[in-house]
Amino acid sequence: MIRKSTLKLLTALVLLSTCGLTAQDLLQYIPSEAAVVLSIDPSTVKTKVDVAALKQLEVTQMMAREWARDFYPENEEAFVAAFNDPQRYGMDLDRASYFFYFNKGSDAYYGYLFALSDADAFSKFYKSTLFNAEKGLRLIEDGDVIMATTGSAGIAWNEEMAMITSVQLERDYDWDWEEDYGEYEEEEYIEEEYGEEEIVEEEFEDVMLEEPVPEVEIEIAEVEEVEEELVEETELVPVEEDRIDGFDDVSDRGDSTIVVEEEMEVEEEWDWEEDDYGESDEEYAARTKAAVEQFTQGLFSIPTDSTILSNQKFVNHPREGNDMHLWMDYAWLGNMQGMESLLDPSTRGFLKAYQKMLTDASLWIDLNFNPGSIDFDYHVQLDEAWMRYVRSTHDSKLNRKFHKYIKGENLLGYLSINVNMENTLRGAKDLMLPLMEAAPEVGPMAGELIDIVDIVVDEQAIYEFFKGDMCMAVTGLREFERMVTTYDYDEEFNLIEKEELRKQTLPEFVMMMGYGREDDLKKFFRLGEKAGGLRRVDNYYQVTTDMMGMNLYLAYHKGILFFTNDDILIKNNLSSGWPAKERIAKKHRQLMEDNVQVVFWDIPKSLNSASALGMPFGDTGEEVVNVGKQSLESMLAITPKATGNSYFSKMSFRFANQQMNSLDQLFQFMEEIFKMESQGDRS
Amino acid sequence: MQSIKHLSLILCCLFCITSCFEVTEEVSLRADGSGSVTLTINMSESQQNLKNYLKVGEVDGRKIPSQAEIEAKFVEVQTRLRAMAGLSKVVLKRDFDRFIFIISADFSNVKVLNRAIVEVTKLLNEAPYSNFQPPNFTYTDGKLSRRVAYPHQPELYRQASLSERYLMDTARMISIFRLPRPIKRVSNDKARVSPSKTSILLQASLAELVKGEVVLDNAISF
Repeated sequence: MIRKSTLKLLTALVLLSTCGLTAQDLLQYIPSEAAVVLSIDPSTVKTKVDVAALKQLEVTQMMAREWARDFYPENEEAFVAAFNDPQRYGMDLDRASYFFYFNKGSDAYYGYLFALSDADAFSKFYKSTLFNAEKGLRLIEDGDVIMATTGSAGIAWNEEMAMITSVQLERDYDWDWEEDYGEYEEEEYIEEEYGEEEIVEEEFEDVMLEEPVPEVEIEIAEVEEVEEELVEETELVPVEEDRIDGFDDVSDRGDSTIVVEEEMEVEEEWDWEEDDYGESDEEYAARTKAAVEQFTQGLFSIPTDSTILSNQKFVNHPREGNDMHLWMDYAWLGNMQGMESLLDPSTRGFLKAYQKMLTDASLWIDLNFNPGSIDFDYHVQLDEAWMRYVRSTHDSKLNRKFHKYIKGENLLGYLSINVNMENTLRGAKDLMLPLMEAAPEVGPMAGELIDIVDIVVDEQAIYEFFKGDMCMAVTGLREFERMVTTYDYDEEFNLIEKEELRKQTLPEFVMMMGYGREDDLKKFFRLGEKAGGLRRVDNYYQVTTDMMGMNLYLAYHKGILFFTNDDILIKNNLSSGWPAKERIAKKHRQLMEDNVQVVFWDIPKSLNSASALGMPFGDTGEEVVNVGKQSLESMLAITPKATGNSYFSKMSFRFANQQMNSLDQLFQFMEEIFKMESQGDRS
Repeated sequence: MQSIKHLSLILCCLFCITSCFEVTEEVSLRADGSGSVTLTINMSESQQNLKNYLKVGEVDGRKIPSQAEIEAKFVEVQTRLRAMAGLSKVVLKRDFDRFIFIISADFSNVKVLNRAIVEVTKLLNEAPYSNFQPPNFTYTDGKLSRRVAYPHQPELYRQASLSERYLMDTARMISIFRLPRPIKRVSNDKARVSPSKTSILLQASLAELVKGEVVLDNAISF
C-alpha cells in the first residue's frame, strides 16, 4: 500500500507545478552550490494525461484535503480551492518548478520555486490565508520582492515567481566536558547532592568504622498448618531418569543456578534542556529567522556567475523532456556534513580523499509516465579514471548455460549479475590506493602494504576462481516433504509418538555462480563434508543443517556452482538442464546476457504465490491484492554495459494495460484502493 | 504446570508460531491420593520458524526471550519444584531442536499439586491476563474435581487477526486423567472416557477455551 504521505507528495509535485517563466529563468534563483535540484515539468505530463480529470478523483481530493489540513488547518478550504484552480490564485502550474537543497557544514538550506501568472492575485491569496500578524509574521517589502518568514521557513515572491524556503541551522551545544565528567571537589559534590548542610568526612568515617552493627530482629512467620492426608513415606532416592533421544535433561547439570532477575533500571530518554545548548531557545529562533530572511532575500539577487547555471556539472547533463528530473552533485554524497570533528583521523582522511575523487561526478534520475510503464532512468557521470574502471568491470560475459537451469513457466523473479571479476578487483586496488594514502596511519606506506598483501594472496587464483557471473531465480512454488513429530493416542489415551511425512508449500529457487579452478572448489566441498555441514549423495551434496524447513543442495557441474532446494533439478537435470520448452523465455535470457545486472519481478504470479502460501492479508488486503494482480504486470531493472563517460540503470514498473498512460493507471489503482478502504471504514 | 499457566504461555507464544502446537497434561492418580503429573508442550510443527525467531530475538517488533533465558527459567522452575515438600522425581526435558518440552513430577497428594501450580504460576506469570486464578484440584475418596477459573473472552478471538485466529483454532489443549478405579460419572460432557473406564480425555482448541465454548472444569466420580 502506498503511504499517504508519499501520495500527497506525488500529487503536489505532479499536479501543482507551475511556471510562468521559462525554466531557464527560474534556474537563476538557484545558487550554484545547490547539491540537489528536482524539477517537475507538467507540460510533458499534460500531453500524456488529463490532469484536471485526475484532480477530480476522490483519492486526489482526499490527498489535497489532507495536505491542506497538515499545512494550513485554519484555511483548509482555501487551499483545496487553490489546488483545484491554481490559476485563479495567480499560480501558473503549467510550467516547470524546482526544488533544491544544499548545506554549509551542518546547516541545511531548502527552496521550492514556481512561476506566477498574476502576482497580485497570489499576494491577496497569501495575505488572506497564510499570513497572520498575530503569530509574529510580518511582511517585508523590498523593491518588488515581498517576503514573510516564520520559524525556519519563509515565503517570498516578485512579479513573476514565488518561492518557499527553509533553513535548518545547527544548534550550538554547551557541552562542558569538565563540568559534566570532571573531578568534583568532594565538598562541591556533597553540597550539590545533599544541600548546604556540611557533612564532615571524618564524622562519616567514624560512623562507618566504630559504630557497631545494630541487631535486627528477624520475625519468624508462623507456618500455616496444612492438613495432609496420610501418605506412606517413600524414601526419595535419585533415579536414573529415562532419556528420550533428542532430549537434554536439565537434572544432570551440576549446581543449578537460580537466576535472580534484578530490576532493571530503565534509562529515560535524554531530554535536551535549554541549558544544554550554548544559546537559549529565543536566541536560536532569532538566529534562524535572520538566516531565513537573509537566505530568501539573497536568492533574488544571485549574481549570474553564481547561479546553478554556472555550475558546469549541472549544465552539462541532459535535463530536458522528462516528467520529473532529479540531479545530484555526487561529490555532495561524500560530504561529511560538518561532522569532521566527530570522525577519527583515518575515517576523515579516507572520506576527504573519496570526496576529492568524486569532484566531477554527478547523478541524475529521470522519471517518466509512459504508456503502460513508469520508467526511472538513473545516470551516473564520473571522471575518466572512474569510468575507465567501470567500463573494465562491465567487460564480462554471462555463462550461456545458466538459462538451461531456470524453469520459466512459474517464474516469479530473478536477479542476475555479470561483472569482470579480475578487472573489478585489480581496478579497485588502484582506486583504493589514494584513499589509503589519505589515512594518516597508512599514508605513504599504502602502496607497500598492498604489495605485501599481493605476496600472501594469490590474486590470479581468485580471479580465476570467481568468474563474476551469478544468477538467482525463484521458479515457483512446490510442495516439499519433511518429517514432523506428532503425537497420537491409543484407545486408553496413552501417548504414541510418531514421525509423519508432511507436505509444505514453499518457494522453489536456484542460485548459480560461474567458477573456474574446479580442483580448488572441490577442496571447499571436502572441507564442508569433514565439518559435517555437507553430505555427499552421488554427484551432489545435501546441506545437513535444517534451514528454512527444506532440504538444500549444493553441486558443481562444468563451471557452474549450484545452490538450490529443487531436488528434481539436482538429481535428474544437472547434466543437460530442463527440457528446452520448460526453460526461461528467450527475452529474459537475452536480457541477462546483454546487461551487467538484471532484476525481474512478476507481480501477479508473486501475489498469487503469497496467497497460496496462506499469507493472511485480511479482507481489505485480499481485495488490494486482487486489484494489484489485475493492474500490475512486472518490474524490470537493468544496468547495461557502460560506454562513454557515464553509466545508467533503468527501472520500469509495467502495468497490465500497455496502451493507457501509467500515471492514469496509477491513479486509477489508488482510486480503487481508496474506495475499498473507505467502504471498509464505513462498514 | 497446569492449564491456566500453559494457557497463558500459549497465548504469549502465539505470535511466535505459525503452525499448530499442542499442550498435553496427564495426571495419573493412585488410590491413596498420590500420583504423577506430566505436562508436554509440543511445538515441533513450528520448529523451523521458532529457530529463526530465536535467532532474530523478536517477532513483529516484540522481543522474545533467548534460548538461554528460556532455559534459565526452566531451571528455576525445576529448582523450586524440587525444593517443594511432597513433590519428587521432578524432571524437566527440553528439546530446542524439535521444540518439545516436558515437565513431570510425582506428588504426594493433590494439595501439593495445587501448591506447585500456584508456585509455578507465580514464576511464569507472563500472561497479559492478571485475573487468572490457579486451578484447584480436590480429591476425596472416589471423587476427583478440577476447577479452572479463567475469564472467557470471546472478544479476544473476534478482535484477533486472521493469522492469530488460525493459531487459536489449531492450537490444542489436551487433558488426560488416569484413575485407579473405573469411572462412574463425569460432569464435563466434552470429556471422553476410555473403554477400560480408567482414563478420561478432554480436548479443546485454544479458540474454544478463549471463547468459553469448552471448559476444563470436571468432576469425576470413580
